[in-house]
Amino acid sequence: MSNRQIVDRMITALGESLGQPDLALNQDGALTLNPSPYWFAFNWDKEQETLHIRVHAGDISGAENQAELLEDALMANRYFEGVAGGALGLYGQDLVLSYRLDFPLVAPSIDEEVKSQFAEEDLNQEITPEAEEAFLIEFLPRLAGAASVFLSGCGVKVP
Amino acid sequence: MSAKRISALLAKPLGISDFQLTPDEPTSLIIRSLKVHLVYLSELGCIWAEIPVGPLPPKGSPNREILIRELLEADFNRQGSDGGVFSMDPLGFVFLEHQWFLPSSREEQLPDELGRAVILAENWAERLTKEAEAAHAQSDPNFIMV
Repeated sequence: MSNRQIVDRMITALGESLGQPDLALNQDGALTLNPSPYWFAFNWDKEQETLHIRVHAGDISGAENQAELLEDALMANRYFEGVAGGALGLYGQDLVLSYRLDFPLVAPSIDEEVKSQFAEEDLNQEITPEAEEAFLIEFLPRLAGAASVFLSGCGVKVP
Repeated sequence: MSAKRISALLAKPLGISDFQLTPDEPTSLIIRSLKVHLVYLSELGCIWAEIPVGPLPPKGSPNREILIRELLEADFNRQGSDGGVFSMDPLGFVFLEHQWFLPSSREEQLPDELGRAVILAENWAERLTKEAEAAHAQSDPNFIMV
């Protein structure tokens, strides 16, 4: 099975969990998903065989101390540790958390909490097809949650 | 993938025939004009690279927030950071960081990506140096830029 086929299967499983069984990347490999209150965008990079996931963390225009918030965001990117292994970036006034999923998907790509569900898997081993399918269902809420926690900590009102 | 295999992957492009990564121990390399720190994190199966870029102008400097915004804009979708991530430590020192989970479809691109990352970091280092000089000149009328 190709990496793209694995991604398609992950997206289908995600759609089924959201009651949208027809959910799929479009012909350009892109998909936008807006399950309230979050906003996600997916882009399949066929050259790199990588799935880019973006989560809209929040609009910072209402933040009281934007300068401090931006400093905190750049510091959160240090060691990829601040926000669930993703990187915070700025698009206009929107703080966006991006995460890059490389393939083959291996258990260590998953954060510690999710990884514990695959404890029977040896490190550096590819995860099972069942775990692959469930990956986005489990991971997206955690990614969005981590972004919200970061912004709340900075005093920004989040959804 | 072993540290030996990764070392072999990097040795030729780096031009260091006896280059050898030791798992979980940082290795420093001079690539072009910058020192690059590489670690193979064996438990994660990941190569992590850290390229020190330089210090931001001190807090209170008008250009500091502008630079931070630009760095975060570069981090958006990792487009301006060419797949890496710009970050900052609590002292205001900027780094460009990369991670490669291995084995991966991207592993063959690792040497090229590392080379490009160093060039990008050099460009930013030059920019930060100029901004620091400008900030210094503003705060010290006797400061002469050479």
